[in-house]
Amino acid sequence: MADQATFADQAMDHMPALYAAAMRMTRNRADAEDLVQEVYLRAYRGFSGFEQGTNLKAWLFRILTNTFINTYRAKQRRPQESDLEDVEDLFLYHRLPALEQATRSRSTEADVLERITDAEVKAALEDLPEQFRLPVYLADVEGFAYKEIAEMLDIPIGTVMSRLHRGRKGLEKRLHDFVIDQHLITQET
Amino acid sequence: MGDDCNDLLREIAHFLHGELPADRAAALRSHLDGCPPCFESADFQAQLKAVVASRCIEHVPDEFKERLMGFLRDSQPS
Repeated sequence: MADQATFADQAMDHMPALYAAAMRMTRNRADAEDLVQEVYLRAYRGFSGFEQGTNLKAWLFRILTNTFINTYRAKQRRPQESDLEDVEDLFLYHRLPALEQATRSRSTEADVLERITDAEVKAALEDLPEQFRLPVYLADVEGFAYKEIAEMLDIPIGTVMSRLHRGRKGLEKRLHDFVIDQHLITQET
Repeated sequence: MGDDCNDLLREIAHFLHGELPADRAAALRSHLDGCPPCFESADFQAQLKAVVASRCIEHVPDEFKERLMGFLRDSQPS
């Protein structure tokens, strides 16, 4: 059994990760801070139920996703979008016309990728409808296993995989749009 | 790219995440070794994933951290 006195020591280590996730989930700082505070309060109260030696970060993230879904999703200002345009097989890689013509050198691709900014990645994620954004964030930013994500979101693992597939493609499309806007590609043509 | 490639491309993301069963992972790895376009696609996906992960860092305001610590302290049973 875990003791509440040790809670601050152990649980605060994960606060930056929870904060970053909350920012992408709620899409505004005030709600993100309220959400993180709520998560820590629930975690603190429930800490005696946490089994020492098991994955504390996953446990905290489970509380985060649960709290977000039950409390904050209803408050979101933007209407819930359930459609994600079909971007089947739309690889950023294949859609860079300059790269298709030129030699596909690793440094050229890496150059384009490295120029993608924090703001663009965060905006691209936030543009994803929630049911895609959450799995993509949990998998690709935090590295949780599909099984863990399925448990956190209370959905079947098959649903995690299909939402990840569509969400990742949606993210790629959005980042591709940002890259076009930045004229990173047109300067080649 | 052949039809095999199209089927396998769907699996690359799961492979990169370590989610393919050992036999599927081995089959995909061996395809990537022999198929430069698929290899480059996989390599690109891996790089993109790394970029996305690295660009999501948030600085936590000190004021919030202090407020949270205070809040938890106040929540302790007396």
